Parts: sequence; C-alpha cells; structure tokens
Amino acid sequence: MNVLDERLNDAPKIREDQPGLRNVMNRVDAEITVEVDGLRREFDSKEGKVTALDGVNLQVRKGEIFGVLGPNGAGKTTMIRILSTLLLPTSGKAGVMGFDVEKEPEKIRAVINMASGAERAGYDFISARGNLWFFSQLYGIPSEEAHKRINELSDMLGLQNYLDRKFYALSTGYKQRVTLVRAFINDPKVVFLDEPTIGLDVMTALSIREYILKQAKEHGRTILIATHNMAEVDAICNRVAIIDKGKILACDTPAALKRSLGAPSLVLEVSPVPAPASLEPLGKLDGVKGYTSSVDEERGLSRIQVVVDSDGSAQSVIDSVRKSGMTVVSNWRQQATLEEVFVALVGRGFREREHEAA
Amino acid sequence: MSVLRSIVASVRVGWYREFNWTNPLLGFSMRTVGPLAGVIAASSVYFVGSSAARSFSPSQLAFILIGAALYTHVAAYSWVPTLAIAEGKWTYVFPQVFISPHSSLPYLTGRTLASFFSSTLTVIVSLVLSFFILSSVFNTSIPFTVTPLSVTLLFFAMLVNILAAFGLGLLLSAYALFATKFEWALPTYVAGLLMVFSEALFPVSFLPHPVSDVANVLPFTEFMRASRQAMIQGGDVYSYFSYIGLATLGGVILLAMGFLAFRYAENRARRLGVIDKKTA
Repeated sequence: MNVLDERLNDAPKIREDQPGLRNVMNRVDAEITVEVDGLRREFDSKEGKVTALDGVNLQVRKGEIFGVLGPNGAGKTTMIRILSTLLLPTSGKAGVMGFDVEKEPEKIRAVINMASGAERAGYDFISARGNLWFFSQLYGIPSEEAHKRINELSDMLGLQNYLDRKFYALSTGYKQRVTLVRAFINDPKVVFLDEPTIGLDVMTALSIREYILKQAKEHGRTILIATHNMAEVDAICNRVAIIDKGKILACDTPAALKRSLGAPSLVLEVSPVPAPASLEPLGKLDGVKGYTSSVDEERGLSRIQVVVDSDGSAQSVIDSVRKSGMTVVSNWRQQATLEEVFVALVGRGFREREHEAA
Repeated sequence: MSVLRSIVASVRVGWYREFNWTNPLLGFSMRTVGPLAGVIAASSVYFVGSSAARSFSPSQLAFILIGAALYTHVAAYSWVPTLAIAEGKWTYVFPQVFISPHSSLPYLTGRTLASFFSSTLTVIVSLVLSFFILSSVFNTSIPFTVTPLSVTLLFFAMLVNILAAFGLGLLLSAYALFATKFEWALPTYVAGLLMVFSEALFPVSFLPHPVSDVANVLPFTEFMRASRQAMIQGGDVYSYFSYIGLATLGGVILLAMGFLAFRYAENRARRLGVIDKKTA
C-alpha cells in the first residue's frame, strides 16, 4: 500500500449533514445497486492473454452518480460491458440490483440501460422520434406513454425541434442527445454511460451533464459513468473510482481524493520543449509522487505538472529542471486536480499512460 | 404483451428498412426487379434449352416459374436475421437490442416477418408479371390454376414455410453473432445450395444418392411441392396437405435447431465479447 492509499483510507469521509457538498451518497447504509467483487476479464489476442480487468471491487449506491476515471485502455468500457450484460466476466462477480450478470442477465436488462458516446445507436433512415419509439417498444412501453416520455426527455435536452429529422441528418451533438434520451426511455433504475460527452462541444457537453444530474437527483437513478474526462467527473460525480491497467487504485469523492494529496501541486512552464526521457529524473526526486507534461506548441513551451509532498520538494524540482539546462519561464502552485491524483497513484499522467499502452 | 410490442416495432423497423431508404415506390420497384429478373432468366434458359432439344413442355415451364419465384422469396427473407445482426453491429443498434429485456429474438422475428411481407408482395407481383411476359414472348399457355382456393393455398404454404425459413435464418445468424468475417457471404452460399436442393428448378430425384435423399426431406422442398400442387393444373388437395404436413414437421425441427444454435451462439458470443464488436 503506498502513501497515498494510506491517506485515502484515513481521509475523513464527508458527512451527510455538511452543507454545500454533493457527497450525500457517502452513507454506508445506502442501498447498493451495483456490486462488483473480484471482477476479472481477460481477452485472447495475438500476443497472448490481455487482462482488461484485474480483480476489481466496487460498490455503487442508489441515486449516486459514480465515475470510473482512467486513461484509454484502463478497463472502464470492459466493466460497463460486463455490467450491461454484453460481456461475461472471466472470473469474479458482478451484480446489478442484486441480480448476477452471469446467471440473471434478463432480470438486469429490465432495470438498466446503457449508452456509449462513441457509438450513437440508431437507424439512419428513420427519424429520431421513430428510433426512440422503436427502442421504447423493446421495453414494452405503451405507445402513448412512450411518446410522452420521448417528448419530456427531449425537452430537457433541447431536442424537440429535431425529433422528426432523419437520424442521418442530425449533427454529432444531436445524435448524442438522441442516444441519451434513449438511455433513459425505459425509466431505468441504473444507467451505464460510457464517455457520454466524448467529441462534443463545450455547450452540448454542459447540457448533457445537467441532464444526467437531473436524472439522478430527481428520479433517484444510479448512474455509472466511465470517462477519461476529469472535468466531467469533478462536475457531476458523487464518487469516483480511479482505474488503471484493470485495477481500482482509489475510490472516494472527488474532493476527498484531491484533498488527500496534501500539498498543492507544482506547475512549471519550461523552454525549450524537453524530450520525454529528459524529464524522467524528476520522478526519482525525494518527495515527488509523479509528474505529467504537455506541450504548448503555440508558445513553444512544455507544461510540467508535478505532484509533490511539500514546499521543499517543489523547490528541489525547480532546481533540478534548471540544472538540466531548461529555462523555467514560470512556475506556480495550484490546487490538485483529479489528474494529479492519478499522477500521484501511478507516477504518470493519462497521456503518458496511453502512450505506454500504445 | 411486452414481447409482442417488441415484435411489432421490429416489423415496423424492418418494413422501413425494406422500403423507406428511398421513396416507397422506387424502393418497391427496385425490390421487384430482382425476383422478376430471376424468374424470367430461369424460364428463358429452360425455354431455349428445351426448344433446342425439341422437348419444351408448358407444365415444366410452370414448374420452373413457380420454383424460381418462390426460391427468391425464401432466399430474400431467410437471411434477414443475419443482415439484422451484421448491420446492427455497425450501427450499434444490435447491442442495444441485445440488452433489452427480451433480448434479440423478438427483434429478429419482427425483422424476418417484415421481410416476409415485403418479399411476398414483390414475388407475387413478379410472378404475375412474368406469367404475362413469358406467355406472350414464348407464345404459350402456362398451365396455372388461379382461383381463390389455389391462391389461398399458396399463401398458406408460404406462411407455413416461415417456420423453416426462420429456423434457417437463426442457424445462419448464430454464426453471424460471433463472426467478424464472411457473415454477409454465408447466406449467399447457403441460398445457392438451396436452389439446388429445394427442388426450385428441377426435381431433386435427379440428384445422386444420398444427396437426393437429404434434399427430399428438406422442408423447403416440401414447400415447393405444396405450392406447385396449389398453383399448377393437375394438382390435388390431398397431395397439397401431405406436403404441407411434411413442410410443417421439417419447419418445426429446423426452427428448434435454429433456436438452440442461436442460444448457444449468444452465450458464446457473450463469453468472447463479440456481441458489440464491429465486423471486419
């Protein structure tokens, strides 16, 4: 167990009566709607067995918006595929509303729905309304009731004026809105959303997040979101599990996870842009938990975010960068983000992790 | 009730899929051209060959005309479950259908029924058109029996044949569920075999043993025979119903086989993780 894990376990849980905090779901007595126990999934590939999920344990409570945050290839989508009964686990247990995914998939299907941001399901030659009606009928919803729900849900997402257009004629953003209306058409108790705002403009993403929040808050639905979008998790999730290489590294409220880092992280803007290998010594300095970097091509700079445990460690990072021949254009300390929590846990950022995986 | 809603909605989607990709009249015309061309081509080949051999027989022409038309009918809708799965993986509709409470069987049933209705329409139109075209071009009288009873018996045979066609469709789609290659092509190969083994163009007794024995018990063969008993002069009701009985029995067996194979394939596809995998 590393230092951060200890901190996370020792971190005070936010109490239900604390005003202004979203963590109303952090109650041990809340009904568990999604439960995953020792979940493991392996895939065969040309290179041999690939482990997508490696003994994942998770509990999601009723009415909670639960984020599963991790880089591409971390195992998020695999978990959603198993929970939504598209895929069977290799070993371990997964259950929704008390039903087992392996033995009782038909019972789970009656109470869930799922949507993927990358896959906008629909028949091109049918209108958005026609598509939504079709999916509603798969759940046995009477036609009149189905149309009422289509109108209500579409209203929330500003889709009303586009309902009678053919699916192929809709923009990506509106197709995604149709997908999200579909995900709630059957009044599901649990909804799985895989990257629900991927590839969307800021305003569309915002309206979708508001819609998801409303669905959880007003209807008490449990919503599990798999995403690599940290802003999304910060904005709407009650709790988040950080996942990497098929393992859950930490699980708590976004605020508690960030607080657990202790010292604010250090951000450096350096020039010239360093080779990735030249930054590696940073990770070996005392008090450095990890770092991530990105290139600002317009300004010809590299931005390095370093998770440190104290002010002294921050200073030694600055000194080390200067000694390596780079010019520190600016530096500042900032409140930790969820990516920095990930960096502290893994030692690398999302981009580096995805690059390694590729 | 809920299952029925799934089936009805899937019939509606299937109907749109058949005719609504362009304006309905153009869609209908395009779908009729295929069977019409098939029937005329098969009949013309027979006419030319038999005329050269001086053995032309109007009743044999009627045999081929009925067989070719009904073969295109069966071939057109028995592969629809495969199509629905393959295109459903592309559009991601199929995974969504799969995780609905009744999963994919009502959907595949509805899509098959929609295609049955549409191909029944187009085949009847092409049968009527080819009858007039061939009678006039070959200057012969094709010995069809067209009465309310014969037409009713033909429709009844077509309805009975849904069992076998859907069974075959499920067998093919069992492969399509976890296949990532050739799932489009397989139904075409099977349809080709069906042309030879279902008495579409010639009696299966012409085939060598034991192939002819296998062909003889196929429900599609019995369906063809029953349809000819209904529509060609000289047919009798007793023979019709004996063929229908055999077609029903074979259809139920094929449907049961298709259902079991599909259920097995579903589970295996879930195990392999290919239900939502796009095809190559």
